[in-house]
Amino acid sequence: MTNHRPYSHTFDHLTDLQVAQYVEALLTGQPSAIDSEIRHHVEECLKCKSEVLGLYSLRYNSQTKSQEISIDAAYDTSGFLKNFQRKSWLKMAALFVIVIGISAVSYYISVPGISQHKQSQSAAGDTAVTITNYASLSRFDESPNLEDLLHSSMRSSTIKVLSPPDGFNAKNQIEFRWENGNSATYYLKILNNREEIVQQDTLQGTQFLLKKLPVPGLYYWKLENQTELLHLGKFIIRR
Amino acid sequence: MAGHDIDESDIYLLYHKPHTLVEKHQETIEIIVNKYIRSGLFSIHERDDIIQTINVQLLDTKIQKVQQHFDNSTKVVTYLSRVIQNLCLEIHRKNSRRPTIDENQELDSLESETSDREYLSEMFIRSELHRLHATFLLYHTKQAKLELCLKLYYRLPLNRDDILTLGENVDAAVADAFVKELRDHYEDLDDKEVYEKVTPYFNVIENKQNTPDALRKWTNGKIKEIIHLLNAPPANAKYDKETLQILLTKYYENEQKTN
Repeated sequence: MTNHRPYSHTFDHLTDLQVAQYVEALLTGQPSAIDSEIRHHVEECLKCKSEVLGLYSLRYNSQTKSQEISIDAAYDTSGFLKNFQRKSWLKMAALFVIVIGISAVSYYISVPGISQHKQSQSAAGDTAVTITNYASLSRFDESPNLEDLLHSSMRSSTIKVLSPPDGFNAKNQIEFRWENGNSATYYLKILNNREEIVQQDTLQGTQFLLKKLPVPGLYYWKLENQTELLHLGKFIIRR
Repeated sequence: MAGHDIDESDIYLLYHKPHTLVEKHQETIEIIVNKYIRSGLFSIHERDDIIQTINVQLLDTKIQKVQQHFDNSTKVVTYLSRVIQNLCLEIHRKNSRRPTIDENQELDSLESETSDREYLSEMFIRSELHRLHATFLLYHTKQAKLELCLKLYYRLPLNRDDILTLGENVDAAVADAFVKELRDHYEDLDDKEVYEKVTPYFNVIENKQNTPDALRKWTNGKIKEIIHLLNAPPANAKYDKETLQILLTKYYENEQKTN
């Protein structure tokens, strides 16, 4: 006589009630309370995993309804504002957005070329402002602002970048090299596609070897002297 | 059975006033239908009709089945949610249609009219981190191995607890040696080098004789599974290997902050 294992992968999948039990256990933070036969079945069964996770998503949304935005609330701005007043952490998020906004304005003012470029655009009647939703950016998505700057001409056109070529695919290390800069000191900044500086170096020479690469993604690099941006390039780090 | 607070009032309503029970959980029905609208299963224009159909079917037949099968092992609302979920899928199968591109665009435009996109993004990330955590829990005895392999694959920071949780009898010295093995140039190693370095440790811990390639294939298979699970309806997600990395990075950053 065979040893009957009612939930093993050779037998039936979880019933609706068992799926509900599993989800209840996950929501209450007590997965160990689930019958071990059920847990072992789910561990091996992709279909049941999917069923449990599907209901979990629905129940998680229902449980957090009072705190989170539903599809209705998303269409109801007044409801959101009431929520806003209740959430102190949300105020932190708002502060973050304001800081980003101020940084962006400072950036536009401080970087020669870009403000002029924008001004010329405005003069031409193009007054659209790009608001980048950084949260939705994958690490390899282009930064609209930096791409914009990349395609605008630099004030100093004398510098000649020898390495890396634009769009360089890096795996181990990157050599930055240039000539005709005519400066005693250079500032090399590496930014991710969210425009966050991930590395910054002050250099006396005209080359720099980046040995320790950041996580895979699209990066931009700026070469500046004490007064202006000399070059903006980009490279990709893949694994 | 999961340890939960039994909702006595729902149980009473289920058997004595099912109409009131369904009425009480209208919000649950709406949330579930809205979730499926977001995932593209239904058009937003069908929303009211679908909610009405669910109400009718619940009261006509489904609630009787819930009464027959309910055994107090879970909350009534969780079991009811499962029934509502099945009804949504049934209705979808019968309608057998998806919203057109224009309808999707309309949804997008409705959302973009609101001033709370940052808030929605934050909520979405939070919800996704919870779903990822729940997904890990479904792997039960393989959870620790899965998480460690994901960290190795994406070169996320390791600590000795990642190795110690692989099994009850994992030697602390083995865990230390494992972490030390990858201390230098961890992010610069290619996949082959990583699997060659860690497979002997996995073999000691699991008492197996697997090849590095077997571990690589296992990891790749699990990454595909996780992406499949996170993208499956009713989720409105389109994860790939790169976006999964972002979610994992955020997940372990949060974990580190709470520890």
